[in-house]
Amino acid sequence: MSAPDAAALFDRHHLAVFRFLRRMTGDFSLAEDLTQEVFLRVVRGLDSYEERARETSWVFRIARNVLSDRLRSQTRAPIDAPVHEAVALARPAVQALATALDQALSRLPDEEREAFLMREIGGLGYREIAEACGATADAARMRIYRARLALRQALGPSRSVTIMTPREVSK
Amino acid sequence: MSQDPLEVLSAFMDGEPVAPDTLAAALLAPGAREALVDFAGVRAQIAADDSRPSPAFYRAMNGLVGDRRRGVHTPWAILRAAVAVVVLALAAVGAISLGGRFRGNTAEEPPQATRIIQFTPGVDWHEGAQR
Repeated sequence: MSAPDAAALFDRHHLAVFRFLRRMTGDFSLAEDLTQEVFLRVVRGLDSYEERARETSWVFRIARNVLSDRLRSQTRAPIDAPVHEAVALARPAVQALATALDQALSRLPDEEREAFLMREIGGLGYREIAEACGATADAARMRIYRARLALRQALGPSRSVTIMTPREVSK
Repeated sequence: MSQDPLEVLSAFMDGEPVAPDTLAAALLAPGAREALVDFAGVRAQIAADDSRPSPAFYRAMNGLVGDRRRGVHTPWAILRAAVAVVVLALAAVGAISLGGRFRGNTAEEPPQATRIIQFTPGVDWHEGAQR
């Protein structure tokens, strides 16, 4: 099997990557920027694509790296002009995307949130998450478990079983 | 794996192998059913997210990913396509030529004579003669 086609990879994974990054950052525009960066790196890295790695796992590993790089650069950026805030101020409607679930997710430790979202949005298994995050499969399992418990507690039994429609979620 | 009932249910939800006995014991634990329902509820909320990037995002991505998609029009790809066309054309000409050659050998249409040999009775052969 040869390296997958960039356009096909984009078609298959861009929504999951975008939603993963949106949940990780809580910022719609930032998630778009990061998703673009992810697929820029995907295109550049196609030649070094390893068939052994599952495609989704490979893409999400890149997404995680892109996010880590952005967070690092934001830490070094001047405090009065952080990219994240600038985007949020330019598009106040982004704030409306915050839901109870987003808020609960935002309170999770980063490593639990990313493991949980890789599982729920990307459909990655424990081993793949471990590979993407540089952890063990047991650690990935525990992070997801802790995230579930925390979300359950934050949302409460009555809220967590309320299934929102896509329109409600996007409001 | 730990035998914590909720941890077992969490792993089960993730499609990890869980022994039936272990799962049965976990489901009997107090609050296990409610926890499982809550876990499924959170999953449903995550799955209900149908947010999509903006049209501007897709326009920007067309420039990036679309370039790869249009990669079939590179000079090398054009050369390969031209060679393929020539090979196919030669194959078609060959097939037509062979078809015409074999068509004359069918039972209904005997081949054209290339020379005629005449035998004279009594000279070249005799009635009732033994071979």
